[in-house]
Amino acid sequence: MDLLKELEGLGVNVQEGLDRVMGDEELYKMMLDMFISTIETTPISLDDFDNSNLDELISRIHSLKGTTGNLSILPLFTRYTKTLTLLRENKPADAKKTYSKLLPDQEQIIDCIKRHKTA
Amino acid sequence: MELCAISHDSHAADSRTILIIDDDAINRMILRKIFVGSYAVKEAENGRQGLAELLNPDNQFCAVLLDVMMPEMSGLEVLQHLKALGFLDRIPVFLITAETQEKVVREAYQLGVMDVIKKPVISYIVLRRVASIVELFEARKYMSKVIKNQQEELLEQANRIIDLNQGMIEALATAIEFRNEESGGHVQRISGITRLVLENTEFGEGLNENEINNISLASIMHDVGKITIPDAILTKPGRFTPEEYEVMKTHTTKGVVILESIPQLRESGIYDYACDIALHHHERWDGSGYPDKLRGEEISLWAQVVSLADVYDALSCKRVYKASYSRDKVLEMIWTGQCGMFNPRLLTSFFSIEDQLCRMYQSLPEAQNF
Repeated sequence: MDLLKELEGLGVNVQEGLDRVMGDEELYKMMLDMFISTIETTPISLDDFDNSNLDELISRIHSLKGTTGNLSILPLFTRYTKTLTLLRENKPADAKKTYSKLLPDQEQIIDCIKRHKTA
Repeated sequence: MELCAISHDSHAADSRTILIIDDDAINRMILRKIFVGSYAVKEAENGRQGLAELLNPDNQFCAVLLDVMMPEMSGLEVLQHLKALGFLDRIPVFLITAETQEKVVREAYQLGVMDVIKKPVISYIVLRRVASIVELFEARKYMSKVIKNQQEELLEQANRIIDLNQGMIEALATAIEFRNEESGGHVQRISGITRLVLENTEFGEGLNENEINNISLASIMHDVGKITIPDAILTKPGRFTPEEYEVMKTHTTKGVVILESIPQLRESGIYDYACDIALHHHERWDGSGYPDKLRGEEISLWAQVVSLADVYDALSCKRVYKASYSRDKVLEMIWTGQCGMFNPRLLTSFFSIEDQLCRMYQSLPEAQNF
């Protein structure tokens, strides 16, 4: 199955993401790769939510929220948005729970993108 | 598409260049993709770099797309700098932000941001909103240029009209002098002496450039009333009889009547000076002059200057009723009050610049004995 079709099946609003880049599929796929690179270069662990200084974590979650929004990866965007809100409200425990819920979906989406890249 | 933090477009110096300031490479790529078909695009990866691009005089941007949360310098800090530098009147700045906090949005608008566009952006909306404002700014810039050109043209026309008016006034005064069998240089010299005294001595202190210009021009018309004096008196070679002198003295009051009959002159800045000078340029400091027998400070300082200039010129140059006097004689006659008393302060000022006048008079044919 085509990458974009499979992503749609995982809840990604591919058409919206493509519209954002004026229908440029190449560019959209390049940005998907950049998303994976960001996740893998500076991974966020659940332990990060236990730190007393949350500024760095907020900044990284903010960035991922932006990226998933730009790519219209809605299942992740919604949860990153909620995680960020909770962190800003100084509720790291609740934020951690929300973040932990998005991880399986994120893994699935990353796996999908990687599979198609190597295929 | 390269992924370097800053990429320079080949049209970067184009006046239709958009500057994208965002620390997120994906955001910059998306915005570039949206705008690159219509504009040249330049990128900066944080607020500090963006500000440097904006301050670079080689760059001309038609719009700035500005992120809020950035390292080194935030979007709001960039806005504060741009506001302080007066950039926001010239370049529309759009805040492109995922920030939903109302206080951030309100602060941005208070600082002068043109519009706030929410991320993730919708391409056709952001393109249309930015393009509309850019067109508006371009139209405003064009209109300002047109208005400025029109203002310059009007100013040029006004200056030409002023020159024409001045030429007509000089022509009228010169025509009157010719009736008096004088060369026509008298009124010009009176105007020149008046300006020299007012511009270069303490007697002119407190008068601005415009006032001195108006007084100098007004002085040209000091003898306009002589047009009403019969030739037999005006050009009489010898001394006047008492009756003839009384007629001659009326050139002051009749001069004012003539000036009052020119409606266009009434609206000009020289009118009041011209009337006062025409009426009072034969008054004397001790009250012995005419027509109103004013004395001391009752006589305006411009009428005082013109009366002294008039006497200096009349003594120095040949007239139908007298020969030209030597410089020593002229100065002695003025100093000893043989032509009426003058303000001592005016005499001090006048003698401080008389050297400059002397050189000019020594070259005049009508001042052959000077």
